[in-house]
Amino acid sequence: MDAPVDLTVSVRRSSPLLLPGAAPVEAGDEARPGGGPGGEARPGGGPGDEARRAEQLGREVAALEPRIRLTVTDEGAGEIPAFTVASRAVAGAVRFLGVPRVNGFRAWLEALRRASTGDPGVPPEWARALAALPRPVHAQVFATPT
Amino acid sequence: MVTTIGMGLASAVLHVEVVDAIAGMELVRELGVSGVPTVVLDGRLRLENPSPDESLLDFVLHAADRAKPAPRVATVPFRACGRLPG
Repeated sequence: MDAPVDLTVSVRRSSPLLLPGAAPVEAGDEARPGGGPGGEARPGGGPGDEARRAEQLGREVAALEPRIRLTVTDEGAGEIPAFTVASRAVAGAVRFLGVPRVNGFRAWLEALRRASTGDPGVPPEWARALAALPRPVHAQVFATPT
Repeated sequence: MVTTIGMGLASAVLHVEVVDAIAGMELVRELGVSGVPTVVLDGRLRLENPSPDESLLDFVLHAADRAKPAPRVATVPFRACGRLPG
């Protein structure tokens, strides 16, 4: 690790509303007993569990490496927790949707390292071509936790 | 692959989002992603199971500037546990 890395975790916080005698309800959990949209299973439970895991992961990695500057926010947070990795050593930022697992976790750690070192990991001609794109492009990379 | 596409390609004009396909099931449905890993550019150009040495960069350039010709599809759909022969 070289330069400081800004890691932003966007999660929906627990609802501050409590009914007398009722268990606390997590934001996003109330209408989906199965966890995800339409009730399908989500990895490890509902959105509230994912939000807790995301925040915990961010706090643990920031505790291990002082150059990781952690921000946990609910601003702009959707149902799926999001991690944004950025630093002054790189021009752009990468956003991870969902708590990274298995290979995704390796990629997430690698993104933190690359953000710090500024090593793009692609040929210089790619970097030059991408820097000269005439308009913004939104790339979504879908991966399974295998 | 995901790492290469991720931090390596991200720039001020290329916004990269790595989506856990299980957590992001709604997006998977919305974009019609049939196999993973898949890269979707601007919600319309889809590359299934690409590898860094194939035409990914050309697809990105095409997405940014339609005047640039789309490269021939260099990858085949990912099925079962391997690639189909080209």
